[in-house]
Amino acid sequence: MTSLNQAPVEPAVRGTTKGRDMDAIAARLVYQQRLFLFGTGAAVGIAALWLMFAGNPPNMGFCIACFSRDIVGALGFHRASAVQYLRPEIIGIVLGAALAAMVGGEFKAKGGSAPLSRFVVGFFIMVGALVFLGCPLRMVLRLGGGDLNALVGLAGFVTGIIPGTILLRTGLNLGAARTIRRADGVVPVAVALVLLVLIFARPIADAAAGGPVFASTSGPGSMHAPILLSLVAGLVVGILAQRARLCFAGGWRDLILVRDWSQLVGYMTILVIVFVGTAATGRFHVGFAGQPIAHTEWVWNFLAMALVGLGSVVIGGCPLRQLVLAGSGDADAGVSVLGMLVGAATSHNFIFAAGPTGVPVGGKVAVLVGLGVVFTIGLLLRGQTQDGA
Amino acid sequence: MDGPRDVERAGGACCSNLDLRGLSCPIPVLRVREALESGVNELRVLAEPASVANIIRLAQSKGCQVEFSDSTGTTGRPSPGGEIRIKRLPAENKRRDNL
Repeated sequence: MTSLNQAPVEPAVRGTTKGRDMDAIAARLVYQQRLFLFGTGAAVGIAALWLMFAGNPPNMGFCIACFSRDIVGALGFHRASAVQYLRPEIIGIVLGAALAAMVGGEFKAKGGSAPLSRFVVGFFIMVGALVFLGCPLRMVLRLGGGDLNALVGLAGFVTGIIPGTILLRTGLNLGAARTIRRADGVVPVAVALVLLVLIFARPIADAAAGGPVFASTSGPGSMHAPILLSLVAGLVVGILAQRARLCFAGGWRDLILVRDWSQLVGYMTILVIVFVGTAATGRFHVGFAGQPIAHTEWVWNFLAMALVGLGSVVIGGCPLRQLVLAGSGDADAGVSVLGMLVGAATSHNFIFAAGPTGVPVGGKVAVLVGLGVVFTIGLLLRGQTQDGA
Repeated sequence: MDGPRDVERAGGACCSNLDLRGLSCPIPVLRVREALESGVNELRVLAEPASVANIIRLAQSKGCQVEFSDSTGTTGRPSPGGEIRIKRLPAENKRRDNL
């Protein structure tokens, strides 16, 4: 921020379009983004339905939190045998985002914006998501399938975003990221490629334990669409989500903060498509009780998603957006994703994660602690750093 | 809250430059709004692709005239990131809040 405030702006702006009607270009850019958001929402909705019909768990065509947790389990970092599977969707999203960013000239390796705080917040976002049983994306899918617990979750999510916007208004700023070496920004892509190899190679290192790579034989982890379909769906969603900058937390945040509803277009489209799709195939069941992979403890559905909402505002994006940014060279988002993965393993090892029967005591304590920790991080990271970044 | 410092230096009147690259959402949009609300009439903003559309929407909702030049992307092709020039129009021309 500092140096350029003093010097006139002249840096990397080449190939300008001076002379053309720039106001029209600006307007077209905004229009294009809204159209992209609509198209992306439609594609994500259709992909989620398709994956569910093809074998993914009910109301879980896509779930960034659940699927990341499944991957962590497949690699043996937690021992919940019902939720272990190397989900190709996640790998597809990272690779798709990287592809879109590289082709679009937007792949930019950068990092250094409060990485460890992002790790902690990512950790607690995952704790919250696994108490609610879904990231913001699955919350919308659950809602589209008639699960009213997700409506409680949504209320909590928006309620959590409000204190986040207050923190932003009063100066929350994780600091500017700096350009880093390209090789550094490519790490998430490399990890995704290694996981892709593991999907097909399925090495068994510990014969007695049968893994890793583990794959559930019962429970949600055993329910999955064919690998190639999952991978392609992930790639498509990754590409579109990168272009459209799809982010549910960002949508509500911008509505509250600058009265800009554009970002919500994408998620509203997903909701409508999923509602129509589940209704048309007789899978729409409205109510609280008996919903697939969900529980009815509304206090904890509310508070858990409040934690996800608050955390997502503090680190600048929901779990899907973090994955996409990580694929686009943002090493800080990559650290957030690492926090999410560790949070997933911890949630199952420490029995925080909820199940259809309800929320364990540990999960309740963890959500309350998480709310406190994330809000404190938000309070402490206000204002500018010493060098003014 | 720290405002853009040169805005204060310029007495909140003339033009101002903001480099908002590297900042995560929604800080860039908030910085631009802060600058516009502090009475700057002309603003030159350097922004990353992810924040460009948001900044333009904000400026338009504030009734400003927006010009945009794209910078060259990392692969040499034009990317939607770049420089945004925001000019405040006289009050009577101000568009209604269209968001």
